[in-house]
Amino acid sequence: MVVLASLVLFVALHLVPGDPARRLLGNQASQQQVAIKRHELGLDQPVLEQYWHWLKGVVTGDLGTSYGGDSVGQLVSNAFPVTLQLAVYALLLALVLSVLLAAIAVRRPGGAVDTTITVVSSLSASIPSFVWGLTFILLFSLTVRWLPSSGYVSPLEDPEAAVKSLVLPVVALSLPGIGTLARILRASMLDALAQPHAQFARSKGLAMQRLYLVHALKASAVPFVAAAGAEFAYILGDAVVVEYLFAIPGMGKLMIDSYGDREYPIILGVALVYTVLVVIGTAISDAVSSRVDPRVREAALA
Amino acid sequence: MRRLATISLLFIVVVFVAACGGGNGGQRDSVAVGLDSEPESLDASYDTGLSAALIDAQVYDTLFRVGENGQLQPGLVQSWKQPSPTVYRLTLRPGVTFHDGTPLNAQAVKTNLDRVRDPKGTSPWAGSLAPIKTVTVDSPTQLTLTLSRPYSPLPSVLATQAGMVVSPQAIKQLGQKVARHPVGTGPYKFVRWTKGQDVVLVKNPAYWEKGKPTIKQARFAFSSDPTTKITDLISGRTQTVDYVPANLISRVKRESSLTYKSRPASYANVVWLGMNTTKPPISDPALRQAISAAIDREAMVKSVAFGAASPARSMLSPGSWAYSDQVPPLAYNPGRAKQLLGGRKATVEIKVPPTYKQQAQVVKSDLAKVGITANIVNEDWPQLIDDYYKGNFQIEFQDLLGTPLFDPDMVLSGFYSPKGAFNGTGFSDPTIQRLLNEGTATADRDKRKQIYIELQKRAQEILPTVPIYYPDNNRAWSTSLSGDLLPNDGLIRLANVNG
Repeated sequence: MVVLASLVLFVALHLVPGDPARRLLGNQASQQQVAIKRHELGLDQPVLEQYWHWLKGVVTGDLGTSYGGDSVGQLVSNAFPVTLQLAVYALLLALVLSVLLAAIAVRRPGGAVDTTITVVSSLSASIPSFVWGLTFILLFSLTVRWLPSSGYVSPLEDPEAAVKSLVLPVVALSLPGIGTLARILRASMLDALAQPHAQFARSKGLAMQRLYLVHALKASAVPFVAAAGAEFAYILGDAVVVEYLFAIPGMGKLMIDSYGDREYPIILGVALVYTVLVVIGTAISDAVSSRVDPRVREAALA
Repeated sequence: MRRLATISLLFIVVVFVAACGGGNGGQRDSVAVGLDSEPESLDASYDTGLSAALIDAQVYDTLFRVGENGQLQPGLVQSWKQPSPTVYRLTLRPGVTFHDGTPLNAQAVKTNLDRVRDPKGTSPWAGSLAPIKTVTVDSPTQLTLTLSRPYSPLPSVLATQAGMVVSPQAIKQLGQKVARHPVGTGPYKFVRWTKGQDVVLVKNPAYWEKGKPTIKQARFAFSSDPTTKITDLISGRTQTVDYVPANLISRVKRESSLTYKSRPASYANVVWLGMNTTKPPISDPALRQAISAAIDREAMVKSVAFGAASPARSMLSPGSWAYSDQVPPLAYNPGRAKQLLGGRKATVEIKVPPTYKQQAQVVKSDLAKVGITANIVNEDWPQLIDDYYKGNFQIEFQDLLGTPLFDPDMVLSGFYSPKGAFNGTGFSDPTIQRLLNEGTATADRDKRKQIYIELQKRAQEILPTVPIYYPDNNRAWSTSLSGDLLPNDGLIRLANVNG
């Protein structure tokens, strides 16, 4: 499946107009020099042959060399932790805050607090993350100037600067997720609380804390975890735009830059890693679902 | 539950406040320059484009330099003689070393010139050094260049990337990887290049110009687009930028922490239309002239260029010494355009890069007024450039920005000579070719200027490229910086900037 996807992408990329060799040499080079460069890069070979060459490399763990002469494996492994950090922090923030909001909202359904939370979460879910990002830059970088408008610092290098550089993009990425997840969780918790067993527990005098946090939450876990898995894929997608907006050197920015440079080997490398990442994310979400819900586990075994 | 909520909120606030705390104070010993494009390579012999030119100017030295008024100055070449029109004897500055410790000598210069000239190589500068026949090393500090024909632009050509000297040891050890680890003799040494993020340089303590540079560290930060770049400048993440885009000038001017300066375009700063002279309908010079006369350049400069430009009359910009008022303006004259068309209706296709979408709409409506229907086709830059050199277009919106092409011949031969570096229009003209040859064979600058004025007038009659406007050079920098931040060629040389 992955091989087929990569073949389609490979052929499609080579059909894109614009010559990587010309891009590399700039406007001043002659057509003759461009031809020399094309030969040097192997771009004059048939596309399927180039693909075969690339695939052989990938199977042996070699993502090849970019037209600019960088190791694609190196570029991707530099960018990967950056994107992973962004996505994981954003997902964690979304999980924590959505559980919190939903748990507060279901205490008095229809009350002022619940209504406020519903409005706020609808709003945060319906505004895309790049709009949040732009708004944050305007507010926090240009108006009050607390946080940087762009750039990335590794936490290993300078933890304080790293947190500063990540706050805005992570919050921007997580906001749509917070809204979506909080709404899903609120609805399914209310469903769970309306179930006879919850009514019974309540009439027995079970502590409210325990009722909400253990019973209602646990019953809502399956749709919630599934939604969180999907949310991770969305966050990865949004991260492409957010990385571009904040000039964060993650995989999304690498991919967009590489498209502009017609760096097909890098685009292919990044696409491969994205595919694997989404597959892993889905697998984790499935595994968690089957842990919290025996029915899912049994269905998987059957 | 309430306690959990309170604690969580408190935690978030604490993290947020901690993140926002801190600040930077003290004297500026580092400077960050914002660019909106990333170079493909930093091997001076092979790279082109504004971002590469800006970083190269810190890492490498050129053999010659060109001063504010276009006058030639010594660079790595301390003195030179021209015993005959085709022979240059160069004497190098003694005691200069590369960042890797190896000496800069005549052999190193020869290695570089031969590398650029290599007919099997892919240096975009090869064409400008083509008149060199041989390079001979006479002594460690002396070498002789013998030319196949008189070529007066040579010293100015050697003031561009074509005349930058890369460490031969680095070329030998790194091969093509020298493009990622530049080693020169310049005021700044290369430290690292994080792709998609920045290039970091550090002061070269052994730099041959005494007392320079004063700023210890330099960072060139790559933004995704011009707006982000200016946001970073205003928020203080960078201290200056490669250029301020016209639509953001008013925004930058409002900032009291920034100095804004602008000057007219120098050398080669022009927005133009490439015309495919090999295929109908554009192969008809009357149609090309009609198109040129139909465009209201003044209005375009005021509206879409935000007044930060001037109407163009030639491919040479006002900063070039061969630019002259004797070349008439390309006047807005829809009546003449209609007359040239003689009642015909024409339909043309214009390929447009993202940068010039608005400008193209203005051209489209201008053309409609004289009865020319223009279909706009949007393409991204790589596709546009590829189509241009393959002749796969009718009309293309293009620009020539940033690269300091000091000698007028670099621009004029580039566009008008059949083998010219910028000639994607398939153009050739015997009169223009004769004038180009006369220009390079003449040493006296005043005489050359007259030749080039005649050439520019002739070009207005046949218009293989239609000049539209000259964008100004606009730059803004932190008030904490002083020195020469906007020289005539538009490049920042950090050696001339103080923190």
